[in-house]
Amino acid sequence: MQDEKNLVSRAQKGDEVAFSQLYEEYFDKIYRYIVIRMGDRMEAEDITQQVFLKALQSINSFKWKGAPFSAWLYRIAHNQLVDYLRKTKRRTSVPLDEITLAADSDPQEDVEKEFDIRQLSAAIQHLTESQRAVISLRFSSELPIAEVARIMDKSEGAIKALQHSAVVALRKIMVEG
Amino acid sequence: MMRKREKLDNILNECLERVLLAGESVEECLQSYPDYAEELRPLLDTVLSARQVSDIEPRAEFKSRARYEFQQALREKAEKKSRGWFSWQPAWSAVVASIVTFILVSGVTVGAAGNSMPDQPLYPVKLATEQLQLTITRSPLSKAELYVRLADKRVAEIVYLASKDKSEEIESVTRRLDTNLEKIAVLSMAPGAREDRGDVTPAKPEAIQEPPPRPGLMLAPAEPPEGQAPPSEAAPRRPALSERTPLKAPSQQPGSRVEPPTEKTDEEAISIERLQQIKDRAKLRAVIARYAENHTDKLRKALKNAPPSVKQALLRAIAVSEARYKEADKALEGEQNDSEQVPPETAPKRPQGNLTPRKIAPAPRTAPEPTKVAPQRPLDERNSSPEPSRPSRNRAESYKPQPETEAGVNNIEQANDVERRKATIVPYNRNRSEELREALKDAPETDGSTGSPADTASSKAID
Repeated sequence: MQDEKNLVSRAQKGDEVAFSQLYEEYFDKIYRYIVIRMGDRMEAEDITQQVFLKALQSINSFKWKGAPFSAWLYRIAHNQLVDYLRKTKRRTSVPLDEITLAADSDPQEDVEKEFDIRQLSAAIQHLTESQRAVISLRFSSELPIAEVARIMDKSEGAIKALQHSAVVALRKIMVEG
Repeated sequence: MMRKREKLDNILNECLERVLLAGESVEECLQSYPDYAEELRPLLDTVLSARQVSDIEPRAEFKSRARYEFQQALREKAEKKSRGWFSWQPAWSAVVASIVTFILVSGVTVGAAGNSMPDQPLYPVKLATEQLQLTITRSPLSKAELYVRLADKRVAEIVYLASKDKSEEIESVTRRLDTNLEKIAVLSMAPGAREDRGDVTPAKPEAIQEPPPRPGLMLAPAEPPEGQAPPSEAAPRRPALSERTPLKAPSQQPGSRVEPPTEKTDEEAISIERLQQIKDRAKLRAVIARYAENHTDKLRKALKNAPPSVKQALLRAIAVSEARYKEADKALEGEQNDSEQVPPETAPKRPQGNLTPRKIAPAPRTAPEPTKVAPQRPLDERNSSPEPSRPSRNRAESYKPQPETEAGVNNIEQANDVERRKATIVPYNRNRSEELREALKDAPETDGSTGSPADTASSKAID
């Protein structure tokens, strides 16, 4: 935490190296969080980039008030997601036949993976906003419960309860189809 | 009920931590809570499936593109911050504004730009200022000295760029350094270097391919003593004005603007002028020698401390600097020796009319001015005599000075009334002597006897 505090402080003073380190630390996690929430990799890529550019623009507005830097970053990601979904007026991802594949990957594997992602994403869409956030943060971004609690501004107990209810609901959706 | 629920929340969370983070298996966790195993197992399986699906890595190509764009945004932000109060405007407009400010009023901008480096916004202003300095500096020798000082700035820039690990910019500044130093040699050698001494500008060569007959230019030298070589032979070196044989003055051309000053005053003026010229060249050579050493030292020192990525570029800069300084020094050495050959006060006097034929030295820079006088011959005789066609003739004749001036060149060794013609002769003489030396250089070398092609060329040139 102290290291991160130091990094953020340097980044706020314009230290490019410090900001680059924060970027590398959180890029994959933010991407996973978004891709599970969105269900579409391409859209998730755009939004992930926007999250970090937004963070760069407003790094000086971040203040240490007990919440970690990641909480601030995920909040930006959440806001970007909400904005995006509001603008596009959609809740689910683009159709499967529009999946864009990476040039150097195995198409079949990619399609299966994409399908799984979309299934999970579609299932997640049936959860409440808080449940979706918990699932994404806990199982995609692999954040500890305490951090998720800080990000979501809830108690750890509340997050544990949300986590439980979210997993039960997800299980039900996935089993019942 | 609430307690049971909370307990289950905690057990599920603990199992998730153990399975997801600690790497334990579901079975291991369930063994810890056998009473809840039936309820926990499907939940843990669901989480594991969800986790497996969401274990997604961003595409490598997206990741690298995103990283690149982010780094660019970082740099832009840093640049904006460094531009400070005028960050609202594009960089180019800041430069233009600086140039305009410089032109109109401010010496402040120019002062600041004077110390700017190639990676700084005011650098173009610095270059523009230098160009302006060069434009307003008329004298070639002064210009050459200015180029040395500009080279000093280029070296400072290279040292700075080396410390910043910017090899591409070093290459660019090295090219500027090369150009600056090359100009020094050119200015030192070129006939244009004599502009500062009031030389006449030669006419265009095409205008004088076929010069009109100028019988008035056939100057009558003193009759050579019997048994001595005719004065058409090439002289081994250019004689000083003071040692030149006073000959009978040619007739003054009508309409001549040359006022007849006193002999003593003119001789002194010429001597002072020549001395000043020698001094200027010696001074420039000393300045160049000093900077050459200083620049090499600076660049070598920078090379020692430079990061490996810029070493190659620095080596090139050192090579350019050393080669160009050598070239400039050589040019000045040649010119200086040439000048030093004719100090009016020290050159021994040559006996009048004793123009012993000597083989012409091939070195053009040290070759003396062939100020020989052909014996007067009838025009038709000269025209009929076989003379090899040489480009040197055309070169020698490529100037179309006033007849008065040309006559002065021919007679400068011979004329007693040099003072009457100095205003015209001296400037032209320098250009003319250069040309004649070129002519001699180009002429085929023979045994040096009378009537050799070189001699003939000289004679023709004098004609």
